[in-house]
Amino acid sequence: METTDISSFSLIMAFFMLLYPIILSYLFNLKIIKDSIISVIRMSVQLFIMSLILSYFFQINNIWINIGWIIFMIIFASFRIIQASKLNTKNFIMPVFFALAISNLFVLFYFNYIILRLDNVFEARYFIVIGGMLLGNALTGNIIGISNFYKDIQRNKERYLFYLGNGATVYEAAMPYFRNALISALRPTIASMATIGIVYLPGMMTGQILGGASPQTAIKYQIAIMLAILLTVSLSVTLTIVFTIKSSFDECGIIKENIFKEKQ
Amino acid sequence: MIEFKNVSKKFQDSYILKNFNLKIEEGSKTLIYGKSGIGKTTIIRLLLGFIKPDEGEIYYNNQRLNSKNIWEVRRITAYIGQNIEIANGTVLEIIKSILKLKVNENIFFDQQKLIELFNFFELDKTVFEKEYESLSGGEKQRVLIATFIFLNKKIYLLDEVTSSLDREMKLKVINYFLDKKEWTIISISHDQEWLSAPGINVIKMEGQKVGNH
Repeated sequence: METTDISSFSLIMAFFMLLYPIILSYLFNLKIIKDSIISVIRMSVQLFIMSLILSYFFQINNIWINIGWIIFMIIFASFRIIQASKLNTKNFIMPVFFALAISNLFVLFYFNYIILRLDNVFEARYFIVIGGMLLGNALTGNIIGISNFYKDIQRNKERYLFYLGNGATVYEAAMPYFRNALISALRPTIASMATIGIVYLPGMMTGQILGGASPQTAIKYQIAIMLAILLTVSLSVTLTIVFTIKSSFDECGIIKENIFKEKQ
Repeated sequence: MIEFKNVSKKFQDSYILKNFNLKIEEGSKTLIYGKSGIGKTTIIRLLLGFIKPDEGEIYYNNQRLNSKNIWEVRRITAYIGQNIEIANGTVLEIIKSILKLKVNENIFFDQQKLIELFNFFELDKTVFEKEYESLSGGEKQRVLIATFIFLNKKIYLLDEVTSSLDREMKLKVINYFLDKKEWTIISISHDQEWLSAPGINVIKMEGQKVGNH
């Protein structure tokens, strides 16, 4: 069974679906016309370029190119996390990069080697696509996790200092914020696991079924990928915080002011 | 034990503390007294290494305070700041979280002794199960005072810890601290009860001029 392709004409028809949101925005002066159009253009161009890149990668299927591409995505994601968390790029880029790289590559290898039992774990079709999916989730998780962690400490500085002043180590005094950061980073993944299958079918599963896979295969992939996402998010947030903590506090255990990009 | 030598601290170009001198002997009881906003709290924050002096030096056991021995100072210190919103959870959970710190690992959790201390400061046993947040300001102060007395530290840095207590309770707390010969007490307070406490060294702070009484 082959997936029905979408012809150029059909794709234009797809863009017609934009009409109502635009009219709505115009009528009620929602001021999102410009943003929506830019987003739609960005999405289309990015995906179009991606399709070219992916077909090229699938064709070549070279281990080093695949690894290079994953590393490129990790670098991109690291910058995005730091930017979105309004943290200082210079202090954070290395630790965030290593935290993402370690957690993503570890889970990716586990997934491809132990679960899928691929002969070639670097096979572009799996390595890049699944890697991207894990990374995308780690990205959101880390933006929530790391920015919550540092902002919380900053906001509750007196609480933090109370423990520090009473002999706690930096790790002990930061523990409540670490815990909260992990909870808030993991909550979206855990919540989506609970509703999956009832209300909606996740994108990956939908795609596989449309692509001709049996629902049984699709759900097994989906279960495995959700668990892999959960592991990637928790591992990467843990590592990001552990790796950044050392450079974010001075020798007296006080949070450095310059870790934030702008004055809070 | 602790000495401030010509310590100055600026906040946005104006001095909050200028050429401040202070000598604290082991076991001494010191009250830092004065209007709010003249740097009383700054003294405690400097001593705990939360901020660094712009000029002058602070000594701990004749050694300049640095990023090494500051941790030692914090380990032997009980610090109760003005902000007493220190954690969420029940009183017992918070006490346990404090006892769980590595610094307190040798302290045995003698619940009977803690209950006695709570009773002494007129907190009954049911308070342990209450949410800390739901307590009144005075109750929170007494919970923290009793808890840190239980920990039996060497130095007590107390920043306005009796502000929400009634006169009788203030005296009870003050006397408890003053009676403990081995404890070094540094208290910051507006309260008359501290000022008139027998045997306390009063450091009166008046703006930037600091007199030793």
